[in-house]
Amino acid sequence: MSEFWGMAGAWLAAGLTLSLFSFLYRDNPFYKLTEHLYIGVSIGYGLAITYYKSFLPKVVTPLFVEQHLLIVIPTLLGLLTLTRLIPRVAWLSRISFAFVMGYGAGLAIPLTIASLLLKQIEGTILPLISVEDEQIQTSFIALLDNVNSLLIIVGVLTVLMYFFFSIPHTGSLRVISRIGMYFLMVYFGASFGATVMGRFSLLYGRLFDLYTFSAARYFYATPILLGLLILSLLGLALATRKPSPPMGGE
Amino acid sequence: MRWLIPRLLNLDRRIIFLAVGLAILLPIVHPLKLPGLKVTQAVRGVYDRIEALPPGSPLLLSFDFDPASKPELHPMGVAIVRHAFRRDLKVIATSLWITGAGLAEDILQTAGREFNKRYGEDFVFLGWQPQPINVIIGLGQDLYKTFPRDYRGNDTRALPALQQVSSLRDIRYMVDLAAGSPGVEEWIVYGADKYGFKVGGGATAVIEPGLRPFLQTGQLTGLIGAMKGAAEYEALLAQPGTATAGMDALSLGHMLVILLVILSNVVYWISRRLPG
Amino acid sequence: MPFFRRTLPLVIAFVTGVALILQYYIPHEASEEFLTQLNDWLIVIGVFAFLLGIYSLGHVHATRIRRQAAGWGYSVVMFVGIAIGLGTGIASQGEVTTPDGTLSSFGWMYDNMLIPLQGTMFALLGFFVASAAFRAFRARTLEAALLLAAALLVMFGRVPLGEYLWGMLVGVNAPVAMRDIVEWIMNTPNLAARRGVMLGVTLGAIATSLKIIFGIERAYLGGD
Repeated sequence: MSEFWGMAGAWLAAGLTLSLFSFLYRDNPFYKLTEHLYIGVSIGYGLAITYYKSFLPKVVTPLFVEQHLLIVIPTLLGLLTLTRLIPRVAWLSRISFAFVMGYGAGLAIPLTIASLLLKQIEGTILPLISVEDEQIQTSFIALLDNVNSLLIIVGVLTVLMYFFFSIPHTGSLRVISRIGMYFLMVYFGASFGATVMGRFSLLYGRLFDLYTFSAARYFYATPILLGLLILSLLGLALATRKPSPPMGGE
Repeated sequence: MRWLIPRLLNLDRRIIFLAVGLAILLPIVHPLKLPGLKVTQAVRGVYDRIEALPPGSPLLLSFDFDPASKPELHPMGVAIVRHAFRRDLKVIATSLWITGAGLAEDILQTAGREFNKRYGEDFVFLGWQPQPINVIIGLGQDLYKTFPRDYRGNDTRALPALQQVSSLRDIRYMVDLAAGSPGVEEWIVYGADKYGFKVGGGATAVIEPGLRPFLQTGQLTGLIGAMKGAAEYEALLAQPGTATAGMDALSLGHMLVILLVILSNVVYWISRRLPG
Repeated sequence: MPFFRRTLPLVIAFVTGVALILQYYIPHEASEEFLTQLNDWLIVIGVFAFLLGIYSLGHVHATRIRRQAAGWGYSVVMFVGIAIGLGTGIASQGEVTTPDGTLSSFGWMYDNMLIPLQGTMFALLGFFVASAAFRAFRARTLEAALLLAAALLVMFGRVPLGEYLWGMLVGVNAPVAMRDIVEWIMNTPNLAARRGVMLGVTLGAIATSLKIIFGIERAYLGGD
């Protein structure tokens, strides 16, 4: 039985993959069908995991089995969020959302200041400063040697100035923000290069699976399904082809 | 020549799709074993840290990705867990992405079987909970309260692998494999910098450039980027896997895109110079 | 009534926000216990909030089916997908493996439906990235040329073949390897720009958080 399910799974996986890839030819019902199936399956999976891995151990068990009555408070707040769906009492959900947003905002402020602001500024300045004999010293030699660190400072400041829109970018600010833009272009270019690698990696994964499923042990799932798909798309194209206008007609 | 220029400029994209498909497929069908893979300092930063952990100490892993990033991060995860098991570390895993839980379980099982490691004693998968930032804070405050049950429904207080660990304060090192947010940045801000442990990052190619500032400040000890980084880690372990096998396809794919871009620019500039 | 509808939520946001900021600076055991408890409550609330998002999506598609709007058949397929995902989950009680270690129906659905579906949706982008690069990636200006140069160098240098070809071009013992060039691009101009953006975004996020706490930003409360 498990060998059958293994084979069935391979055929299903290959079929779904090829249906989605059919979009490369043109948008078609197979692609749309599979796309909507993907949305549904993702939601169904999420619901099952949330119920069994989160709702049961974090709400039902503490409340009804272990009887930790304090869980009543977040459970009530959670139920209040659902009142958003009932227009007459939707205002009750504001209490929960205010609590969640207030918590998130208060938690984020000191932590992001420490990690994303101060640490990053420290990382920008520190390479230019050396500490000798418990005294902070700046070294001209270190400055010269540390061209990269200087470049980083220039880059950070010019990029920040590029996004500063409170005053018009004229005169020297125009030059500064232009330099910032050049740094941003290198950043976008590096990101694009990395994105190509990322997307090709994903493509490699899917094509590798399709190649695996084309083997005899999977009863040549990939080529058979590919052939069926091509025939279906051809049939669809013929069926929906507009008739050519009559000769001499309008 | 003149007839070729407009045809090239308006080339049907399906021809490009076919070329890309063939460039990726060819090395799968016929492995080329192209040379040139070199290990970078960023990847060593994670490897050396795990290598330095004493046997028996806990290693936290967070698998923060979904099936879309499987080809890049699954080999990375397998390589790191293999390394951890070689060092006899206690692997404590979690996932901040709901659809990543199944992949995390698969990675742990794959490597666990190879090294005869036992679930509950040598490794444990805590699972997933909603509100990822709160999960990180919750783990930092009280692991057992945040995960009273592990992914398989076991009482977490009864698991030997968690005996040394009651919160993130008992962790010295973690590796986060991330495909986006929540991921490395959240673990640094809400975890490492608050609870005082070190982080190594594993990231998809798309987000890896954006994590470099954390590497420079030392908030990340190392950064394994994309399938190439995974291949480098496999090289350090002397155990080539799916990432190493995929490098041929990436090599050809990249060269194809480079050639296409160069061709496109050459044709464009020629068309600008042609009269009419 | 206006107090409960408008003022009370703002008071709750203010009190919670300020409490969390103060908690960060108070290392007392009671303060840590307060954070632990409140944090756990957020996770519980998150379970219900997840349902809210699902309902909204389901409602859109259910309306489409009821009105038999264009493409309503695909909405039926979506609900079939939900039934498959949820049904196998209930049958397996949320476990991907059975007690004897074999794949459950939920695990089978995950391996043979979710992984290929999600993987392929994003793998499609590989084709479009190449097509977009050919059609749009032209060095018309200095900025575009910079972007192009950085992209080409990163693409060339991040694959083993690029490293190998560079070695053939300049010699394997050249002082600068291809990966050094790529690492420099990543660790200097790329890092600088990313840090600049990060600092700007962080300052904006802090400002928004303060606005939420002080009740200036109220969009999250919804309409009246």
